[in-house]
Amino acid sequence: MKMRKVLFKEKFLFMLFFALYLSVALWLVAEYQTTVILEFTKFAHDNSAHLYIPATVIENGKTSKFANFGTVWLFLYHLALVPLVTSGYLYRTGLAGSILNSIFVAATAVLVYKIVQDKYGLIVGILFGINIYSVVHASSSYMIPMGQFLAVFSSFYVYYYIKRGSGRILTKAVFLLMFSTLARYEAWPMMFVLVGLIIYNELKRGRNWRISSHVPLAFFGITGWIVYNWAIFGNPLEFITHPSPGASGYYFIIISKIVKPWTIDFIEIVRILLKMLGPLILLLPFGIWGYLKEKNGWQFLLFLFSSSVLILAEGPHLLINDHLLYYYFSFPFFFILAGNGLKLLIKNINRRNVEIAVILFFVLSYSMYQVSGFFEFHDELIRGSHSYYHNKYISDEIVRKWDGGYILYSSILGSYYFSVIEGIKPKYIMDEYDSPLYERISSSPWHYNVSIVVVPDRETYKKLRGYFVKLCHKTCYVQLYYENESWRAEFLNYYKPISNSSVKLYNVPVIIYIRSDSSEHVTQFFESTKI
Amino acid sequence: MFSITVVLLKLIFILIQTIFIIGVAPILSRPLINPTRVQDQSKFRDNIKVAVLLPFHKEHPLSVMRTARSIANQTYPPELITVYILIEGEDNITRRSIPTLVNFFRFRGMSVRVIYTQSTYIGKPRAMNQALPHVEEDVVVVFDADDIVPEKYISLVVGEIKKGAAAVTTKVYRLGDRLHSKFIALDTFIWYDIYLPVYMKFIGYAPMSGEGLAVRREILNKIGGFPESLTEDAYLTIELAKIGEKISYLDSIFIIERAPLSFKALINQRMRWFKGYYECLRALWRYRRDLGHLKTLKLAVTYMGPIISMATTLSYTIFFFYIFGSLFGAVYITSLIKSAISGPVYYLAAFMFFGGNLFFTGIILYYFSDTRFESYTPYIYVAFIYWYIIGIVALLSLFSSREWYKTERIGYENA
Repeated sequence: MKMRKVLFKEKFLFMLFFALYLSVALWLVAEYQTTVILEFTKFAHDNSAHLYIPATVIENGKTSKFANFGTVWLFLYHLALVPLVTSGYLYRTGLAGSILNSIFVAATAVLVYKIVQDKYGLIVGILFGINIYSVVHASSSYMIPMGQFLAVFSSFYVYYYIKRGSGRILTKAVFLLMFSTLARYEAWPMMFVLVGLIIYNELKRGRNWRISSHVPLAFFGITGWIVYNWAIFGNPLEFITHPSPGASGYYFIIISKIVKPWTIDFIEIVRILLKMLGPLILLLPFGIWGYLKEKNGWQFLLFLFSSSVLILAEGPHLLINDHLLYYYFSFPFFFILAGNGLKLLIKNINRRNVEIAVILFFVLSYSMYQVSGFFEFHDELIRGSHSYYHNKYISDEIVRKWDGGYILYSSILGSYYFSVIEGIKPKYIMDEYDSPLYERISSSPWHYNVSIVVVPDRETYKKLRGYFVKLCHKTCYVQLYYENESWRAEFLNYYKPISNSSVKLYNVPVIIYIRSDSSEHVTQFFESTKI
Repeated sequence: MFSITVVLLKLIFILIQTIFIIGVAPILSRPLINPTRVQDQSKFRDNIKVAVLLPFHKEHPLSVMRTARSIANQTYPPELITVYILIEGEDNITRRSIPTLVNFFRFRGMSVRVIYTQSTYIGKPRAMNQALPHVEEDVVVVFDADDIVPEKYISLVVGEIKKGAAAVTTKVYRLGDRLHSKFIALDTFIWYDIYLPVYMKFIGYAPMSGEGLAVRREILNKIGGFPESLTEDAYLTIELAKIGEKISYLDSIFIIERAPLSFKALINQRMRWFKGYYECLRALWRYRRDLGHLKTLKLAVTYMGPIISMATTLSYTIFFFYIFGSLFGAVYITSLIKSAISGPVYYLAAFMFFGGNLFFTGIILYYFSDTRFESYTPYIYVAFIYWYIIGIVALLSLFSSREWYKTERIGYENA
């Protein structure tokens, strides 16, 4: 199956959504100077870290290195962002991520349409595109859209592979999903399911060679990631055993749920689906039935469901402030299912008027549901902007005192927020991304050109100590500050605090020190800004 | 001393990566090229006379008849085809098949001439040049023993010649049942389906293959016959580029040839090819003024097969040294490699290693899926061992003597 020529309707749909998403991003920039404002709302989702990481790979001075892609997040999205974050404007405003994500989400909407096909595909494609989570993900630097697009694109080919058994179609499906496994962990179970389907189908068809040709390609991404972890961090499972294992850590919850299915909270799953799809949830049983009726349709159904195993880890673990951000990866797959359900429902209704009424019911009720989502989003922005402006004010003051030397600011305390919001390149910020230089400078910052030092307050340090120990092995300045009296005494000879007590900077209570021999006159400007 | 070694190693590594970039570029640009359409053969049927040259050297009767059947089945009018069987005076093995062959072609309505070349075997091109004075036809097509040629081949070749090509070449898949022949098959798939279309599209020239090679007679007169090189087919491209003549590549069809019988036969064949390619590279250097510098450079890229093979072997060797050095505590070796391969060179190498191999594998799987050759694709994952050996052969070819080896394709026990 060749992806037939892109039609005008598809191009139009893509352009429409791309323009919509980019407009939202530009509006955020016009209103708040950056799309990273979303970090201060309930839609918080590591926006700034995804901009900061690619910048540390090439804009980190002498410690620019491949290893800065790190191990918590898969690297493909960050790799794609590398050329864009070199522009100071795109970095500071977050538009680097918005441009990329607008393309991916708009293309995903078109793919939803192409998989379901006909007018039903167009309807669900549009409904997916106007979903508040699609708009939020597309207009910011969230990480999911790239992996999601690759997985949805792969499922387009998986569908036709199941139908026709073509090797070329399978190659495309495997290749795209393999890239998705380098972008999101959610694609990993999908790959295992696809491999299972390949083995099942090709053994049945007597084409064993296809198993040996395509299965190794399928695991190229996962194996590559494990080898990368081994080569860079000396542990092939570093992405799991790391102090903050990120999304990979949720798989322990999922595995435990699969092992003990009675612990799965189905009511919670339905609630999540209802929040995701609104009235379209009614179409899911029809969608499942529709695929089950097709020849080998169960295989595609299994593949679709494999995208959403995270949903098994329902509950407080993944619902951020009651928001579905972590489930966003599986959205298009449920929309495909809903679209198939709509198709089946309408095809079984022979009266034109009823058909129109059913379509109108779903389109209007879903749109109403989304309108409320947009109002909620707007309210959130207004609420979040207070916190954003406060942090921005403190950051601006720090920058005003900054003489161009290093800023010693651990990433555990949120150095990446500061870097992105102030548009300061990572090469000026000395943090864990600068190892081993970071440890060297930490041991005696006064011997280096360090002009600002950010330290957490004692209470916060007690809470975060575990992270510091695991990441820095007692060699970073924060530990030395609290656990080495002589170091601290020496440090205070050279640095003076510029606030009387701790201030909250990016949700962390910190004390900010400036070099006392700095040409700047040290003022106690934080006194009036206590939160 | 250490620093000089580091600098040298770094330079070698940069050179290897540059060669890899040149080697991988056609693979990445392959998806940009659409397959050419198969021309309607009926419209090319006219009075162009074709000479089919069959230069034989101690050929097994099965090999001879395999080719003969393919020629006899051609859709091109048989009355316009004259078959020239070139046989050495002392070649008693092939001689036994001649009466059958002559009768076979005559029965199909084709003219046949048997030309006895000098009794001492001095290479295929010279044998063909000895036959050329007897050839009067407009187009000369060369086939080897063991070739299976599609029925419409000569029709299509004539069509291309009519459109203005001085010479026509096509895909030659070398197939067999033994393990080494799977790798040869992969090699030929990659060369003919990925590299050649890209070279033809962007450079306009590529080394041609002798099997099914078709040349206009007048062009052969102009260049003084077939070049007497170890790879006369590949060398012919340079001669044509020199006089500004076009070549055409038929990528819609393919000729099947039996793969070399044994691994030793394969090594011998590769040795001859690589030496031939080195001759071509030297010729390019010699003719650089006639060709122009840009054209020389472009042509040189198409003859870089042995150089890319050597670079692959060299980079794997460095990698193996590093692994063994780490395993057995050879700190000097590992620290030397670490110091040489750092910074941008390291990133480039990492990208070429993972990205290059990934795209290479993906594109091979894609192009050969759903074809009759799909079952060969799993061998791509172990082909690096084969390519490692081929790289060593490419290196040894630089120092071995200039000698023609016949490629053994069939054992006499099969008679």
